Amino acid sequence: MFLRFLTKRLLYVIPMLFITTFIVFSFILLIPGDPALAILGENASDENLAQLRAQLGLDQSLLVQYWNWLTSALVGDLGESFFTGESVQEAVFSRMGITFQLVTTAIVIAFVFGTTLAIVSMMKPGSWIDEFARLVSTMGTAIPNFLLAMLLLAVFSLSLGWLPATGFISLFDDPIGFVRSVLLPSIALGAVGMAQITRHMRSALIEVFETDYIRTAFSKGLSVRQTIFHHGIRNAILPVVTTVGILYGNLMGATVVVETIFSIPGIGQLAVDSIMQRDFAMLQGVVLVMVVIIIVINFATDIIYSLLDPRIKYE
Amino acid sequence: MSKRETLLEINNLRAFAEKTGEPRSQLVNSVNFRIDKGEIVALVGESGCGKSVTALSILGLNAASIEYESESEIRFHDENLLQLSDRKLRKLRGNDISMIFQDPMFSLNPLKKIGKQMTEALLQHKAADVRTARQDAEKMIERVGITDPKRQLDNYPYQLSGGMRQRVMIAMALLCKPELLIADEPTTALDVTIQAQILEIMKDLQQELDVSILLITHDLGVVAEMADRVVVMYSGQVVEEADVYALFEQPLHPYTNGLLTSVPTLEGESDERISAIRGTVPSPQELPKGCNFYDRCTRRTDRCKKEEPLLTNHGGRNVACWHPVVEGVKDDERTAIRN
Repeated sequence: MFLRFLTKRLLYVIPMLFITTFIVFSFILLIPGDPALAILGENASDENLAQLRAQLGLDQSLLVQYWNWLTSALVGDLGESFFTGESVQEAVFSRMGITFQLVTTAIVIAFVFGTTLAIVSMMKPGSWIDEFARLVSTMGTAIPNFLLAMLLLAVFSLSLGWLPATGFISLFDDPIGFVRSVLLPSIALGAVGMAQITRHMRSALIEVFETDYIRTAFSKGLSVRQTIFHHGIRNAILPVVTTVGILYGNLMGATVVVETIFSIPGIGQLAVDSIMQRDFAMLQGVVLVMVVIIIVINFATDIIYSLLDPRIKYE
Repeated sequence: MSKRETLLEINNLRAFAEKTGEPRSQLVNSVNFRIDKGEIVALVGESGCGKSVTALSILGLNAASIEYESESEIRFHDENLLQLSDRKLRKLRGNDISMIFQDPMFSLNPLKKIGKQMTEALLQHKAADVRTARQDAEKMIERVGITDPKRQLDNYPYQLSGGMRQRVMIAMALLCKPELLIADEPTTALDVTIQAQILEIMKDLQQELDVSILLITHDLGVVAEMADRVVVMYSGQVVEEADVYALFEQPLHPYTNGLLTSVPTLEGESDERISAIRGTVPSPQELPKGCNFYDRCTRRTDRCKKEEPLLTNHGGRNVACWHPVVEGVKDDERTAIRN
């Protein structure tokens, strides 16, 4: 049953991948600028330029170029960087690993703090923590992430010197170093998400508290706290799961700015560099991996949904 | 009828809601009645007359915006429930007094197994362990006519029909052997055939467990089927209280009278129109000075406009009316009500 759902979903992914990659491929060619010119420089002769274009396959039609890319991509070869000649899939995967760790940390921070704030403010309406939750959810949306990033950097790295200002250490190499290097950028990245999650969870909890089954719970003699924990949270968290899924995609895009400010060699930076250098092969690889990740996250969201709500059965 | 012990007594219940910038709404205005041990009392009235507010005030489950006047009193075991601390009230809820609601589709948590929801009150009040609580739950849902209880306890609410869910609600409410069960329109949302079954189950269990029931309804058929005594509410007030036979035999308040005559009968001519009480209920924000029923009444006089009638004893029954219907309804009055 579940297997059938899985295969159906995967079959649905295939046309999606074709369409997105083709769109991206055409868009990339619309970007002004010539990769050959970018590589050889202003003074290159027309002959050399033409030769390089032929070498890179840029002299062929769009469809042929896409077909060439696609046939090698299907066998796991995303090509080589126009510039450095390094393998696209290797570069993309190593950068993606970094970004994935960063974004996931940001999501975890946003989710844990966002839901906790919402729950506590529900338990004590009108208290200072309730006011604080409201402040956070407004500020988080109002302050742009680049500003927050620079603020955090200025205070905690440059003035106080508590945390490193730049660089990234992988979780798998050094967990403590990872936390230290990822804390500020992930807060900067996750603040908007935390604000969104706090707000959504708060309104979801308020909505749930108006339902009949909450009244039933109270009529059984449960306290507010018990009612929130045994009946409120699981019902209220369902819409928040959707928010988190969407947030993941958003943060994958927003990470460009934060990675640049904190000099983290993630996929965002790779994307920016590839665009600047007209490194189309690399850019196409970046986009492909991003699309795949977002599809996987949507899929995971659906699975989590079915785990939380017994009424949802995928067949 | 022998005099029974009083279980719960509501004296002078007045509840209002006040929002800033809006006039105060008087939701319940001088409600007085009692429930005896082992008795089924029906609380009757149209929507918005304050019957649900009255019922929810017993368990302190009204919205926080609803407040009570200081002289209001709901007496249960020598305590005024309106002044009980939240902790003490919680010990009462689901244990001494429990409640079932109108719509069984929404009164169970959709994400929790039936068994988990049923045992919650037991675990809360009776210090039972999970296993014995589950066994108790099994026995109880078998008693309300659910077959294969073991399997049903592992089901989620969406896997059960509306009637089944209401059975579960009843079983859940009676699990701690409460003294009073408040049933707020328990059959309104159900099919007619299921309604009868649910009522029968309630009546059987009421006798078996000797529990009192406060049955809130607007369905006079349900009242006739179930109740020992009837309390009629209109626009936030109790207008009549009587033994069920006496009430159906001879209603005293013109409103009760109107309600009974508005029930369609099979006798009479087929083109006869169903009689209705003309007019509408006054807004709780601007109640009249005199009788609340004045605008719609067929027996009104000047006195009704100026003075508010209080609930008074009238031949062993209570009625709040200056001109109760005593000698039976005259024919010209029936037509006047019909209009």
